[in-house]
Amino acid sequence: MTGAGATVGFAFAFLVIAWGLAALAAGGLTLLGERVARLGPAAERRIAGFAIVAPLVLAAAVVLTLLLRSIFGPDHCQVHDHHAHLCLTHGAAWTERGLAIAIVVAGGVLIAGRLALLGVAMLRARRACAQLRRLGTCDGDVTIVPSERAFCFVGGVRRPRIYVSTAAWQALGADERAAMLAHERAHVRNADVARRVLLEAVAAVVAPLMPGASLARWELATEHLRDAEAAEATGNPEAVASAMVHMCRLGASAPAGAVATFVARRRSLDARVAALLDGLPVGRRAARAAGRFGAALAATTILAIVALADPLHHALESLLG
Amino acid sequence: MRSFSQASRVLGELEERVMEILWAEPQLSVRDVKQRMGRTRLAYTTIMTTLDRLYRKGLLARTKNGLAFVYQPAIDRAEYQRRVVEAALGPLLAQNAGSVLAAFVDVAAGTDAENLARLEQLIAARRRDR
Repeated sequence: MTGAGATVGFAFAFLVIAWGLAALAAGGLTLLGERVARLGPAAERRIAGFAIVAPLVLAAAVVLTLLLRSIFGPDHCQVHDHHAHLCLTHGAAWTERGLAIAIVVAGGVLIAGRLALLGVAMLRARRACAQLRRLGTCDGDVTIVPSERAFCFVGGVRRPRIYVSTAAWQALGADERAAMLAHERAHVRNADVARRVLLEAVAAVVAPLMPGASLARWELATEHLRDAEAAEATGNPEAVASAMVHMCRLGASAPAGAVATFVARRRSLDARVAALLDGLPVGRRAARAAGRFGAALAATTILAIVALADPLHHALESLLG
Repeated sequence: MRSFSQASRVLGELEERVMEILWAEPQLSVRDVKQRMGRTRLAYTTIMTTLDRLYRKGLLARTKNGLAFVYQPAIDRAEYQRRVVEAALGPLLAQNAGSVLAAFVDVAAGTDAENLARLEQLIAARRRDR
């Protein structure tokens, strides 16, 4: 009973902290949306990623600290018993906390469900990409797939490849094709698909019910960043913009209907074209600064968690127990 | 009859070999197909089962010729490839698959012809200014 109770207690604490921090981070990102966007896509991407990962890291740090304290620290539990204890040896009372059990069970089911869906999507994508490679023509890192639909994407987590339809390949001009491939190669170089999958897995744990605003921000910022890298690589930002617009025209006229991979947002196409034509700064320096600040903040917070383990431990027990 | 997406998913190497033989030369019996496979350890019954399976998937048609069935493709190679590609694209392009690929652009985001024309004009103007 003690083991089961302790498990419920620590899991409950982890979920409450992770979910609470994720909600705060998402809310903060929404409130500061415009200011973050002005820093440039590189910085926005770094900050959005931090907003997703930090709640998991900090919640894990709290739970790990309390676990270690429970094993190696002084036993204060016998001194008072007016709340359930976050303790490996005195955690039995959690088995009587119906709300905690319900949240842990429901949370576990939600998280498992989201992760399972992600796993299924990955398996299906792997199988589908294998079929496309078999039917398509491989030319270096590009597979040209016979299809009337206009598409161009990077597929594959461990070994990403570029897949382009014949419709897109034949319709785009040479400079547009070069621009489109430069954009996709930037995705491959930076392992964006693998990163996206990891972030989605983390988001499934820290925010299983939330609509994923931080992840959507990360995605859009990543697209802006790869647009800018394609413009730098080709020296032709107009070609990158033109390729995007041309693909949308093909999608609009395709007999099989439009191909949608993300939630359709006209604003994102307009914003991407505008950013390319206006040559907006990418924000790499701001991204480095944000990274250093984020790392320092996380490290400081973790040190504070460890230093204040006793009062934190008692505060959590009082609040949650 | 099972859906094509299921059919394309489980179409194995042997099934593809059989389809290739029939596309090259339609109207073949089981014996004929086995003969055209050349030296093979595959039993007659294996090839018969494979042909039957392809028929039930809707990829082959068959007519009775005496006691034996004669098989021919129900779709041509181009149509088969098109269907396999479409079946493969389905799970890749489903909304919840956004995490497992990185698309160049969401073409559905720009289906407003007026807006596309406006963007094209902007790009053309920028090219002129360069």
